[in-house]
Amino acid sequence: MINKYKNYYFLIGLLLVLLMNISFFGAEYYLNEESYYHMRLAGQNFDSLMDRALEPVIYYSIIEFINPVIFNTILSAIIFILIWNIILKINKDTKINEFFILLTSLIPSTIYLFTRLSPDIVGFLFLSIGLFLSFKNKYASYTFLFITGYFNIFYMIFGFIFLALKEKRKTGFIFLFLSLLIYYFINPFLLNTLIHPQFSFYFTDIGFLLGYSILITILSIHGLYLNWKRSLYNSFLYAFIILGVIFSLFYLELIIVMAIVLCYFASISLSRLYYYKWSHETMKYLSILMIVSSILFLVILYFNMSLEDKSLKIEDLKEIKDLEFGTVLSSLENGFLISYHLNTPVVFDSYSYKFFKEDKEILFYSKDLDEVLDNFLSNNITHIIIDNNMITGGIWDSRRDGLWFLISNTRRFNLIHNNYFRVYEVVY
Amino acid sequence: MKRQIALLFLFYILFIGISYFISIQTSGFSFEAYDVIRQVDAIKTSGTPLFDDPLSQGGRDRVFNPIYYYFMTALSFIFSLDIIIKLILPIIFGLSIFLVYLITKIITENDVASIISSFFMTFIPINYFLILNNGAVYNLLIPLYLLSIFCFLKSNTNPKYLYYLIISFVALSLFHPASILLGFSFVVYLLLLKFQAFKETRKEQEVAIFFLIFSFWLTSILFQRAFTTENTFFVWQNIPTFLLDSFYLSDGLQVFVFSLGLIIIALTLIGVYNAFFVKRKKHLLLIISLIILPITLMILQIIPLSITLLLIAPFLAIVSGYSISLFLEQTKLFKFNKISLVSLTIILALQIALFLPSVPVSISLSSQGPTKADLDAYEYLKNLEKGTVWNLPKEGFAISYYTNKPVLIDEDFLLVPNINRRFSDSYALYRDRFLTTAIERLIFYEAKYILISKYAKQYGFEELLFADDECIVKIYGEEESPKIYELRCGLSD
Repeated sequence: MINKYKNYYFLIGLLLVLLMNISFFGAEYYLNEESYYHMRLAGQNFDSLMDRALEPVIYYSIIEFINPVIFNTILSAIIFILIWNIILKINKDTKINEFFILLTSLIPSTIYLFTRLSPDIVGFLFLSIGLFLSFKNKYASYTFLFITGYFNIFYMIFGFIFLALKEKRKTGFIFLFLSLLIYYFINPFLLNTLIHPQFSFYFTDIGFLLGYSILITILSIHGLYLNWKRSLYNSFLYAFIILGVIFSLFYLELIIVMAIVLCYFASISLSRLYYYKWSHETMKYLSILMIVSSILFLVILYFNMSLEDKSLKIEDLKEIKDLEFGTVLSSLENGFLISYHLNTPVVFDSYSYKFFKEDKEILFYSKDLDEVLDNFLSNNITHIIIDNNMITGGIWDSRRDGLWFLISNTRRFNLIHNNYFRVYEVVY
Repeated sequence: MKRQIALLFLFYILFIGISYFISIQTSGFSFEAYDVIRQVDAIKTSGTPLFDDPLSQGGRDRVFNPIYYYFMTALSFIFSLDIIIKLILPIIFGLSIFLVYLITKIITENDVASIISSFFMTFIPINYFLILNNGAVYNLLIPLYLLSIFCFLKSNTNPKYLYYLIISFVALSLFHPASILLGFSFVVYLLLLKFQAFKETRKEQEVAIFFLIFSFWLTSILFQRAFTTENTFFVWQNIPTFLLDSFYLSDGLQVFVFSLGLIIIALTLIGVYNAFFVKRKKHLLLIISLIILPITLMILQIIPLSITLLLIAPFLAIVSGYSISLFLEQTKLFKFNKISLVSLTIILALQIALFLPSVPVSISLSSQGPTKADLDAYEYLKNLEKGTVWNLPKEGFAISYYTNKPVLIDEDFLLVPNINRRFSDSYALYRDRFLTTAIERLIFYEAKYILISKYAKQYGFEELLFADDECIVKIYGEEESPKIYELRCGLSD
């Protein structure tokens, strides 16, 4: 029992996960943007949280008492141990497992999962427990997957369909149907998101370009080919990938699940490249060297990207912290940062993409000053915060466009701060 | 053997001679060459190329493979840039003729067919359209591409060539990201081997893996900023949609035939048919995969038609050589030696007849640069006070080089935000009728001068309709000569 945790590579992987988490202590620039949102919610009182239907109140209550970074570190470590146990059930080949564990702990997709302060990690924990228990054929796995739905409905649906396909029984589908019914009664709007697939999810920072990189994708295709050729027992992993591809259209974080499975196939390819004798050894060592360096490069790039601009933004927001704000209008990307650092409501943030699509025409693109001011008044908008990205194509293409035209050409918007952000006060 | 070497050298000298003749028809260079010249100047003065270019598109960061510019700088210490662009680069490109001969020899084991394929390589029109007088990296890319293939094929008999293969591929990757194409071509090759039920060796898989890993590794390091900012659009190099549409020309087939020659296309089709259905030939499948991949990418609008033609041209010459070898085998079998001699002479004469009309086109393409009158206008611009110049995309690099002033747009689109808008605006201003719209555009891009060059006149831009004597003032140019206008007011005026 203890021996399986004595693996040298597993311990390095675990150490990496812990180190990445611990490095976040006090390093506020490194936090993912959504983390600010969850930290702000944790700061709210319990009663106001209860108003939010099906929000994982327990999570916010816990991180209100325990330091969120410590809490996240503990959960990440447990998830990592569970992933290790699952992989040991799937595959007995230590060489493949060792590569897998190193890749999993190093790709940005999983770093994103482990280091982002959000209830998602709890959902992921329950999903991992559910999948782990499924290898022991216990009905407890269904219970855990049901609880997963409380934190993340997509993880639950994914888990149940996966179990149904893996065990080739209808039980998974029946449980899924019952669980969805129960959650529907708790919150009928929950399933609305199911009908908004977005292809662009694949290309975000945890998608295939940066999240698990093109190189790992190529290696995983090679691994898939090798696995197919050997007709290995774990053919249900293909279901994992297919479900991952489909579900990632609906819920971004499921890309992480897919990335972990792709890492498994990439590690099959890597172990083949590393342990087999090549007809030309120089080519082999060059290839291995490049794979290692590109994965390290990927990690550095991910951290650099997280840091880029954010420090400037945060420092600038700190300068205007003492001003009095009502509701602030800014871009989706700035939403969480502004609401957390200025402790004020914002009209849009990354979670309000749907509303953004509906309301942006009125708020950002109307040139009718009276209509705009009426809308601002009804939304209690007192300030507009604009950065360079917004005026160079992010929202407006030129000074002739919508609100940017009104701001530049009327006297109803006072410029009160001009640094990284331009802050305009609305004069009613 | 001596006769073959003599013939090869004759083709080589012919190629250099024709290229030089075309290049010297104009004293300057074509517009694209000025980017290379600026980079060489920057390396000579600061030691690094212009990664942070203060003149490109109003001043911005750029990403590219710098090695080619260092190579050009190294050459510029020995020769003048004029000689390098007009003579040395064609001399390097001409080495492809030898490589085509060697590759065809390995595939066909027939001397005559190999000589004929190198003859085709000498007289393929596209080779004169795209590489002359512009200092293009393709002058080096194509020989390195062929060298990698030659080393791979040769490594079957001599494993030492695998080392040369690694060296040539690394060099290729350092010069241009097109090395990724070679990696993917090997994947297509492996698939073709599977379909044709050939036994694939481990070496082929390993080479494919090495090529893919190395080219992606290098590209992801050199172009990481483009990856993260452009996302998947990186694949299209942020090229404006309007230009992307023109990649897949409506008259694509005509261009195809004119640039490659009907004879070569016909012989290639015969060769491909034979390789798939009549006489299976393993190595030929590699050459075919090197043709299939660029054409597929062109159909997907990932690489332009012109570059596709340039990339596949040597391989078409090789497959044509293979078809000729089949023809020679057949005639030998039936003892039709005289007929084969006559047929070959007709084929070669036809190829030359098809090549000749392309010479004037090559001359006009390679002379597409600033005229004497343009240079005078540039000189005038140079002496004016600081300000961005409004121009058309093609002439951007030349204006930056001669005037040392920032330009609105040039032909390096990677990392430029809102490129579609900038691109369409660059043309739209010349058609503007109203002063307010024009001033708004000029202010938005912080442009101070508007240039109507001889090149812009080709698009029918003769005068600015919104120009007046107060706000947009003509400061240079008469009837036929280029004109320069200056912005002297703001929107509030």
